[in-house]
Amino acid sequence: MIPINQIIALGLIIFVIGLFGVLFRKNLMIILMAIELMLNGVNVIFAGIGYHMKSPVGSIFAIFVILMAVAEAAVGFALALSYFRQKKTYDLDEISELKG
Amino acid sequence: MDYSLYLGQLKYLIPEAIVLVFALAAMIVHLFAKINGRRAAGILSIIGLVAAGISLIYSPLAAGEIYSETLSVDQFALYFKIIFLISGILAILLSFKFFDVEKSEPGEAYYLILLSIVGMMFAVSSVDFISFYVSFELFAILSYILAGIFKKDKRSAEAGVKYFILGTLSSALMVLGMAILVGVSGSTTYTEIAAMLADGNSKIELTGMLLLFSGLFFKLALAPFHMWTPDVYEGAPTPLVVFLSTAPKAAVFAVIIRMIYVMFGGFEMQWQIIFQVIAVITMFWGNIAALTQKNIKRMMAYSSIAHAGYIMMGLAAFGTKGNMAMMFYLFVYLFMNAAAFGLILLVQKNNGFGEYIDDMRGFARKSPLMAGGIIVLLLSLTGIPPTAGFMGKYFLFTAVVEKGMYVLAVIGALNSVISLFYYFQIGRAMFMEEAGVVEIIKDKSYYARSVITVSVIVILVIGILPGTLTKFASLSSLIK
Repeated sequence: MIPINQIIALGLIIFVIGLFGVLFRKNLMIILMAIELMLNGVNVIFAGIGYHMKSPVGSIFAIFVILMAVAEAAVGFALALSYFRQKKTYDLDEISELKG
Repeated sequence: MDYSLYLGQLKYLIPEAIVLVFALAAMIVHLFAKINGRRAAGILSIIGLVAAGISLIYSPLAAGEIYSETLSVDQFALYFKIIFLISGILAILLSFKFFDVEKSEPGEAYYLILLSIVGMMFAVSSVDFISFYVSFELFAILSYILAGIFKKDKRSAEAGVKYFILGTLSSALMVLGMAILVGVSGSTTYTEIAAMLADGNSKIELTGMLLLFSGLFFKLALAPFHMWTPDVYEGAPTPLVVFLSTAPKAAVFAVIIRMIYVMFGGFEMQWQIIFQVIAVITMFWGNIAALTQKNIKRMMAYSSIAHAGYIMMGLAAFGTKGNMAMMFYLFVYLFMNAAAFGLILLVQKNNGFGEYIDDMRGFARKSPLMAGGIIVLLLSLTGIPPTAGFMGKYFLFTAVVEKGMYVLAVIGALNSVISLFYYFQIGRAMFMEEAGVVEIIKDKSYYARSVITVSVIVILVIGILPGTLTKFASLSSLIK
């Protein structure tokens, strides 16, 4: 049996990679991928919790997180597309209409 | 499994079901309607919200938790559901005017508002992490679409993208916090987690709570998580900002109140300090940044940050009094915000005119009665009697003082004084400066006008006779 600490550490590492991607990358597509990475890091933790406690709670929660990640991705790519049609780029540095 | 029990519990969810059915009906109408027939979907949506409001008054309250202890249909949830329905109605009415001026009508907005209201109604009732997470995402994801609904408008597209990135970031933090709490307690219901948290000492549990709250604070636009607010509120369509700045905030405050009440009572030492610090930073940041704004939408965005800070004082003074004050203030804030954004819509033209303070010059000369109403609104936003805004702040400050947080009360009062300066820039432009080109477009249907009038009347009536709302709010603030 894999120790719970290692599973949680793996999940946190994936989450932090995603967090840094969202905070420091400028390309919209990479940011969307990084958001998925964050949610998947949480999923690893949930799956590990369920596996360790021999209870379905963790896995059920993970399924709902996957569901919401899909919905977020659908909306996110639609918004990215409408942004691209306006700006002809995915680069967020081009955001200039709204100062701040 | 006893499914007949679940069918019997459906009677508690009639208001939600009505909103959902009308949202689907509006969706179908919008699908088959011609370009200029989309208004029908909006009217259908308003009928649905009114019907849900009526059924809310007559629907029974559940004595305990229903659906395997995931939902709690109590008086507390009912109060917030009323706020969401009113916010939806006001936003849709203002949208009619806005879409007329813009000469384009994205009718999706109507049923998206309804669907996100369904999400909020479930979120304030939920007492389980899974049902809370799903309903939270239901209204959060829809609010990103609402911010970016004008696909052809650069500012709207940008606002949608910004709101989406920061919103999903915050919900990822939130779900990580939930993972920690679920992992520690092995359960997703609030009461079972509360049993594990009772001692309130563990560092891991505290981390989970802080992550959960920081995700929620993003949605409330509290400093230091407020960076998205001015950009999103400026870029998003004005009537939808009325919705985005009131209903989700009320929902998240309700969720936080319920979580603290049921789960995090043991951590009182920690969250009291955190909430006080956040309230102070938020009030100062919002008010001081608003001083230099020339764009009214941007100014109102900073003002809404500051108002979230005032409401946060009530959360720091958590208790019967503090909760009542918060709920009172959220109700009043709804009407103040609707009237303030209604003012922009009243003079707006489709080239962006009307968003700047200078555009209001000469307003009092064109429409003295309306200008008088706006002055009442500005008094209320600042917190000067005899308006509802004053009563709200009075309750918040007394709740804070009763908990012995004198410094916080003084800082709150100081911030009200600061806010006077920027709110009355609008008043000065309306009355003092004459050389304006402002023009109140006589829309034959009077949407913006009637929303402002109703809101100002509500503000005055609650300000002079706060008894009924006070009683209702304090009755609702008792969870179980």
